Amino acid sequence: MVATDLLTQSVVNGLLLGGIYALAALGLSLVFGIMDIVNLAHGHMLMVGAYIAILLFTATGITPVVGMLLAMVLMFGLGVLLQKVLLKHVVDEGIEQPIIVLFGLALILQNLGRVLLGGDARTADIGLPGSGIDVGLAYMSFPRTVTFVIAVLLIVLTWAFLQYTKTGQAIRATAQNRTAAKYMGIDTDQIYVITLGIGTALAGAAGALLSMLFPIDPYVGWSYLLKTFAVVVLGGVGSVIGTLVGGLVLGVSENLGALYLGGGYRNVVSLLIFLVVLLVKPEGLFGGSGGGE
Amino acid sequence: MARDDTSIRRRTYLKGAGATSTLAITGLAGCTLGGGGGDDGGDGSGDGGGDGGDSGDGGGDSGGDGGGDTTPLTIAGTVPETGSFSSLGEDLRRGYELGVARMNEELDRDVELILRDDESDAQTLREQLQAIVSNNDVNMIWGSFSSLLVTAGSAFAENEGLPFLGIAFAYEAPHRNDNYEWTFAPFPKSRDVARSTLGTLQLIPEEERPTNVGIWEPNSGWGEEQAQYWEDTLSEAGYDVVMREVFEIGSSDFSTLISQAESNEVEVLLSNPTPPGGITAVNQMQSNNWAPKMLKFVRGADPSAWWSALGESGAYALMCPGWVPGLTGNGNAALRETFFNEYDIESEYMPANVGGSYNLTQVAQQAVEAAGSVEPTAVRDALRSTEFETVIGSFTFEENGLPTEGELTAPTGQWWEGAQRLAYPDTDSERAIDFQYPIPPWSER
Amino acid sequence: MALLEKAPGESLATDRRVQGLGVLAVLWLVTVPFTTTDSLTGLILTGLVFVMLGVSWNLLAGYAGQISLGHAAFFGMGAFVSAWLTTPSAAGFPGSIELPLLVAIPIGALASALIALVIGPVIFRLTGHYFAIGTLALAAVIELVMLDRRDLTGGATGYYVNADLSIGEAISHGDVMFFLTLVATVATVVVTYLIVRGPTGLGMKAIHDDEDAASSLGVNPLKYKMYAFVASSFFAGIAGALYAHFSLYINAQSTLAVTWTVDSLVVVILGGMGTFAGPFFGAGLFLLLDNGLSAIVGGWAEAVEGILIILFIIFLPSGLYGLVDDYLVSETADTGGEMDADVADD
Repeated sequence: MVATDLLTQSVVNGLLLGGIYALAALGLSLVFGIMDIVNLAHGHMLMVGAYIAILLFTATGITPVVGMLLAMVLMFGLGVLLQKVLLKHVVDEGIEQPIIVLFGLALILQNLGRVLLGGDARTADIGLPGSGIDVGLAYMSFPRTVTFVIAVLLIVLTWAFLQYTKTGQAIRATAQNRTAAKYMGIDTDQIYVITLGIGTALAGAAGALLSMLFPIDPYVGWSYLLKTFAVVVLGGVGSVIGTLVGGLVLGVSENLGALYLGGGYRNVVSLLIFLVVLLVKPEGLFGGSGGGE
Repeated sequence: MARDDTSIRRRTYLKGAGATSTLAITGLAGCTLGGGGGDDGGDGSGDGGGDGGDSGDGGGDSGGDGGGDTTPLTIAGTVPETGSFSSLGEDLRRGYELGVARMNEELDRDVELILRDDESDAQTLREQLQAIVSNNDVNMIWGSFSSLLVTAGSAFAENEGLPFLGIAFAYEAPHRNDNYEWTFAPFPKSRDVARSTLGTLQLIPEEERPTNVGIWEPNSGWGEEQAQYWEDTLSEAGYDVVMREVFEIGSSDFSTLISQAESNEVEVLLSNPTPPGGITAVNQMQSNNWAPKMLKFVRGADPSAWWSALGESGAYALMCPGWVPGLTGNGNAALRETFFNEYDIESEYMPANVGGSYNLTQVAQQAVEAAGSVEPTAVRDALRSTEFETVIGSFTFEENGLPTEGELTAPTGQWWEGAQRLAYPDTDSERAIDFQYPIPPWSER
Repeated sequence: MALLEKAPGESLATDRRVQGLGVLAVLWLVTVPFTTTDSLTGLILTGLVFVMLGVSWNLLAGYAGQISLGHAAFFGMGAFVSAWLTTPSAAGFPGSIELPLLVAIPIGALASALIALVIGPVIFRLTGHYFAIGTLALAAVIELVMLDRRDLTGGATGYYVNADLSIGEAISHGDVMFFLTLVATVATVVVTYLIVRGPTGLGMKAIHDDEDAASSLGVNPLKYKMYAFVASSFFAGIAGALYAHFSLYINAQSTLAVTWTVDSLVVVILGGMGTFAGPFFGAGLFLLLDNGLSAIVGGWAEAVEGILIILFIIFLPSGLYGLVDDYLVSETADTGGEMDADVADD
């Protein structure tokens, strides 16, 4: 029997981590929902965001929280550039091309990371004064708590953006029906650019937050891609609430898997959940549009 | 003199021939008949410094008599310049280079070391060694860092029938299971490490001694062996092993292990993680506000990167790197002098793996001297029958290449004020320190 | 300036001169171990492994249109299963199951094919992007489980394979493996060719072009996807088994790594996805690039490969083969009202 304090600690740790997973997945979900492209390089973009924060921290000691803002700006720019230069050739061209182009992009980013920063893992510290919170049943470490709060904040902001701003509403309209949106006078090309920018920025933000908790090396891209995609599938494409819940579920199940089955099974658990959900209910726990191609 | 080729390769297959081989593919075979051995003049792997110019005549001297024979000694080796063990690569290389310089002075023959980057990957290591051996007349092979890489190198050497020396290799099982004929490891093994841990614990006054031991076992052959020795040795001495959990090498989330250690009230934490894993673990211990009273990370806390990554948070950690500043005798003073003359480092203490690799070069030198030749069989026999005196102690080898049981006292070092200092056994050197115990809680550091 | 002619719809391989070229190439390869160093032989052996990986991935992705990102898993499982059979002691299996190499390699491949057979019906419920990521996840699960089962795979330490086939001093182990690999590659190519040119191949192309339309015409998509998947996994398994017994060392982390999938992709895309000769050109180019690139651009080889596959898939989707086809091959006057002469099908 596992001790209760151990169990609750694991669950709490998982929930706190899940917030970041949800943030990372939100970007992927948006892009997939709007443009029907699964960004295979999403995990690598997360890695780039993390590296930006790490570099800033290592060079100047500035907390990765600030580094995250920088990462978001830079990654937004990257996303815009990506769409304008590369992806617009392959959107709506079937699925082969986008998959391969993004795969190639992932390789490029991976190599970039390795050459510029070395193959070894790097971390950043939270760089802010503060201590964790002891809630009796469990200890919420300072970095995890801070990153969780920031992640949820960003998710809420994104939701509000989609809900209340004109651009946000235009994005949602395009997701629902591209052709109708065009008829409504929405510049769908522009929407694609903005969406990819936001998606990439969110990935970068998640990466920066993760850098405060775990070491990042150039090869983490693939495993984070699979994790975030698992969250997307769990929560349903395009649903913000679903993504948040999905993220929390993933975080907790990873920790429980590690606790009961052993550390090596942490990632296997998330993959298995992902495969099971994909096969049983591909629309995700919260349904919604998307799914299929 | 050591010549090295440290180009960084990504791929894990043969690339020794490089660009010239791609030309050869288009139909112009670089015609050398028969494979293996012999020089291949076509590619740029000719000798650099020194003049090991004996091309392809198999160093033919038989019988080991002293003096007379001056066949050059050509050594093949790899070090991890990149990859997860890259933090050790430089220390290893320096020890080897200093050793080779000394060997060139003291031996009657030229000594050449060809050293390449194995990228901390066993497959790359084999390929690099294969490339060196294909293109040079190699008499001896020196190992890299960690059981993983050293066993890869030794398997290669066993196949080739060349004497192999490896340090940073505490794993015993290959010696016992793989019929080692050519492999010798002048380095403390798992059983010696466990004894050293016990010895360190016994430095603590009895009333203050901890009782609860926790073991984090990496999922590898050596992980299991070391964990088992710790459990056996410490249980027998009356300690309580309250936790022993397996974790994946390369995992980055230690929160579960930390929670479990806290829940089980672990006082003495023992593990042998990789350096990056060890550093991550301590970072996460800090953010989770938990620390044991005594922490020993074999291999994990070995490299200088430990302190540069963790700073003060890395203090108190114990390690067992084979050699620690504070050891005396058998060439330690000479090593210190040549090291600080040759290399400019900030600290006044040498990194631990320099000593380990230097000790290997002493073994190599003494074996060649005893054998009177560089002929593989003669050197191997000398390795089996000589008593060696190196910076880590005096010892002989068992036939399977293990240092004879009980002869080597593995030194345990402790990170203190930015340097690794000898904590156990107690010596008179000013480089040694008193064992710092217990580790204060994070809030007081 | 056309060197070759072909009738539309016919394969270039029916041309006598192309066949002769093929035979010459094989003959030249046979002489390689006797005329070059061990290092070089090993390099070309790796090239042949790439050809097999490319041809097999191309079958699934190029012809049947199923972009699988899990190819490495089949490569790796072929390697491990065959290693378990030739060196059972390292995994704790009883010595009685030990089999000679020539038997172990096909069995390893069969194991891969079996995995595909079992997983296939499940994973093909996904399509498009989901299928791609699903196969990536599958490969990751296999890699993680194998890594965890240290007793079977040696974990991080790795698995030493016992198979020294050297014949005396003259013919080294590498040489013998080279011949075996050559034979296997030729077999892979021939069998894949027969599949592609036969009714199965036609079915695969049909579902690739338009799955719904094909289905309504009575072509069962799942059946042809499974053909492609199982065959592709089988040949990937052969490649893995041969590679394992050549390098004599495998390791759950590197032998199952996504790198092998990347390699397969690069080989096929550079060569020409969906074309038969594509993987040959691709493997050759890739070998040159990988070794030549390291010398020129050092650590940037991977990024260059990424850039190349992006450029190729957008601007040169028929790859190198497409270039060759455009410039060196002209279509003869059509025999039955075919459309334009640029139909580079093969």
